Amino acid sequence: MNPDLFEGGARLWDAGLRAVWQQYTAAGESLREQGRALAGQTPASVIYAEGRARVLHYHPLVEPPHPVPLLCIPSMINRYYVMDLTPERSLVRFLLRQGIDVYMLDWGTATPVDRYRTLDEAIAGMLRRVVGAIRRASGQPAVSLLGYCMGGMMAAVYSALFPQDVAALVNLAGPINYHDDGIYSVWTRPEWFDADRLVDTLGNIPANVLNTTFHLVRPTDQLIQALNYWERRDDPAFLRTFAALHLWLNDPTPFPGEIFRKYVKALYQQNQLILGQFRIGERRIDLGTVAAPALTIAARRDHIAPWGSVAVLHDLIASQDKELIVLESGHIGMVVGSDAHAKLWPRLAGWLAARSGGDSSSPPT
Amino acid sequence: MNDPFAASLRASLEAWERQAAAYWDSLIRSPDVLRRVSRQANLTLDTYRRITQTLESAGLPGPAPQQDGARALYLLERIAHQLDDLAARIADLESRLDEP
Repeated sequence: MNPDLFEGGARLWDAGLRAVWQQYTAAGESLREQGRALAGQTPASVIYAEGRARVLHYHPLVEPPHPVPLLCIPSMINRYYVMDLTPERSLVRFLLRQGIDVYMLDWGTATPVDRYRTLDEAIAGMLRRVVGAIRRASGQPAVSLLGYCMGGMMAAVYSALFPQDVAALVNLAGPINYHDDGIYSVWTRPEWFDADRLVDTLGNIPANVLNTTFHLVRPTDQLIQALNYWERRDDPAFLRTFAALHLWLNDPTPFPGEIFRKYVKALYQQNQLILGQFRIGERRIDLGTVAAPALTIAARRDHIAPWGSVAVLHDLIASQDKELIVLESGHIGMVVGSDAHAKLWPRLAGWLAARSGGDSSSPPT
Repeated sequence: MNDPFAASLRASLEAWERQAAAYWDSLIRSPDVLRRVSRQANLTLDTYRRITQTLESAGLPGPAPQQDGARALYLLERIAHQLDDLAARIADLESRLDEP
């Protein structure tokens, strides 16, 4: 290591960073406690449950909502409530206020039983049943899908498999091309990453293993977070979002083993989706057959799903009605950041409202 | 931010963090580092597997019996879902037959 870098860090530590860090780490449990009281609090009813997963139907904030329902599909790696972080910083609540009828798939916490669940079953089986439950609950023939991160990939694959079910598709930072310079593409290369050995030995990938890998991407960012907390620890509005995000960042869920195996080998290592070789069951997935209205949203500072790997969906699909938005933010900022709140959410809500039936010119009252 | 100490600390920390993050990023992308980490991780996994096999062969509680039970539960859940899917299809067909 560069000695100047090391000495510079030591000087900062002695100059006050130590006290900042100690206050931040001492506040950890209290922050998580505050976060638990704020995250995922938008009122909802469970309309479907399967294994550890459940589907939430958020209570409309305007009556009647647009007829076509929206299903939000989060990543299986993190908790769904990033899209409903706090009452003030909730994508779900924002969409509800614009008259969108919002449903959320909460994957729940994987148990040893889920170690055997396959990606094929998750998409063509469980997701299909979830969409069926929403169709029955809403009385609508088709559902709009909004997938975030891994959920974006799943929504795109589902749209190719079952086009009749999908009214519109939103891919929010879901990688489609996996051979890029993103850190997870580098880490999972077959030269040094043995997914079989990991799954065969551990079953589900433990949450603490996943959490450690997330923090290893940029461990020094924790120091900036500590300083952010220390500077604004007396600002209640700031603390609410900070506490909920702190909880979310430290609340991963185990990754079901067989799903992890296929996700890494077929997508990260072999890049089958973009090559037209990815299969769900017997069916080959051709994203070129996706014709539903589609909105692709990528972020230039996204180090988890590099923007080009997300944006490629826009070029691949056959949809006549399609739009690409590239933001100047990061992977998480695009969902919870103040910029996202001010700029992206209104565009997203407007785009969805225009494709959700009813009067799209203004929110229903 | 009015506190001069905090302002100075932030400026210094941000500058240092950018350098440290760039250094770290080059480190965690280095094929040599990744191969060494991979070797160590594989050794750890193999050791874990040998320990659990030893425990199980000695009749002590290990993950294998739990995994067998979990697999059976998974298969049962899967059969239940397949039956549900089948029932839904039959109901759909019946409703179509009932249509004039």
